[in-house]
Amino acid sequence: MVIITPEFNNDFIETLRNNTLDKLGYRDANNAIPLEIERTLDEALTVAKKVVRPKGIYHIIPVLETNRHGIKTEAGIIQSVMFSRLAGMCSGNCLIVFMIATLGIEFERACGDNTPVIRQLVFDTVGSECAEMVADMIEADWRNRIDSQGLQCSWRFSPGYCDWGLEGQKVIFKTLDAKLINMSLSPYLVMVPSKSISAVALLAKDVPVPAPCVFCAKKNCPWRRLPWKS
Amino acid sequence: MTEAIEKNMLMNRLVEAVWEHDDNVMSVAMDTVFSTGLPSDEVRHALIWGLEQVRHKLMSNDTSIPEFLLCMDMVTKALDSLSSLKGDSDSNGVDIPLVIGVVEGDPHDLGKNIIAGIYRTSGYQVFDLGREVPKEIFVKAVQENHARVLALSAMMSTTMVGMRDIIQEVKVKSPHTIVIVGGAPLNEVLARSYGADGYAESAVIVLEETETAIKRDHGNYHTRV
Repeated sequence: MVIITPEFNNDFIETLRNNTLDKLGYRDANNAIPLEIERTLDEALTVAKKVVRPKGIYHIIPVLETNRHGIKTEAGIIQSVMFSRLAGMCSGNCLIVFMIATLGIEFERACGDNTPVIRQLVFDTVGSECAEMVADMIEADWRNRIDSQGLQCSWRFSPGYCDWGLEGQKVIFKTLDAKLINMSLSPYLVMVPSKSISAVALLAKDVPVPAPCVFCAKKNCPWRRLPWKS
Repeated sequence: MTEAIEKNMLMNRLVEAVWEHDDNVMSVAMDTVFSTGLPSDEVRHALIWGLEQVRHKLMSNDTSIPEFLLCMDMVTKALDSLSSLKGDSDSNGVDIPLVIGVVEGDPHDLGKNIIAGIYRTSGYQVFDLGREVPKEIFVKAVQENHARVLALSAMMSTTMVGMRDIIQEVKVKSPHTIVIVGGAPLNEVLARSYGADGYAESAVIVLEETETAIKRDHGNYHTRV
């Protein structure tokens, strides 16, 4: 099990700023950013730099079996037909990486209750984008390790998306000792702190497609990550 | 200049302040409202009308959610200052009591806060119970406030199932209350199967969905009361 404590630099904050603006709909340079949003964003970024304590944990284990119900591992079964189909396309012995990334609890408390909704939206978006970027940093760490072994990997796949239910959180939290990064899972399978990302990814000699979207008929799925093909 | 023209200009300034989400213009306009003693109901209608136009722009994708929220926060502030002048805490002189909250176990309240803001700035008296609210608190709040509408939010498949129990109990104890549900894991079919009277797919249409459910229930309401 590997624990990572990534560090922010100015590039990180600048990218976080751009990603947040993009998410809020200001990707177009012609789309002027209202002053109040600029100010709130600056404040949220300053707070993020000050209070976010990014941490991550991951663990790589073998895939024991793939079948039409899911992927069997020593930690439990990943009950996703789509992800199992993806594993079935991989060549050689498959491994699976379990990971969690978190910002810590302080940032989500920083916005405060009973504040203007626009402030809540900006802080929430900064938190979500920051969590994605921290997850990318954790992923970069295990990608570096597997590159030297000549393995390829899929994109991250998270409980609650595609056909993998939130029950999948139990398998991830059973595999990883989340307490080591001050995380827990509520009885409703909500991650605490909430600005966190849990995921798995497949590792194999050849991973022909990075996500199971290629098997899916939902052309307009809001979570589609690969172009739809008939 | 006649009093009517001055009043008209002031109303226009209020609407402009909403559209431009301009704090300074709003502040000066509200000072004038207070000094001239303009009826607060007329001011409230102007503010709500101004925001309603922005919401329609949002429906037709002519503005963005952040821009809409800036306008909404502007109206909220103005309505709050009107209320404080009148001495009532949250009513703004409106007459449709509404209870809103996120169901037990679910900490995601941004969507609910946006919806609560839309209701509050559209003529509802909002009783916001917050997030992770147990069933008993919803049922009690609906009864105590004689809520015409109960709006429930859940953002996870593990928490949305709690809506069914809440709706069942509310329908027994407060049969005049209509229930609107919303949240990422829900859809129209699920909402109906839980016994909800309406399903709001997004914040943009929540008012229409609520009004439709109220109208649909209107006949039943009169036969029951």
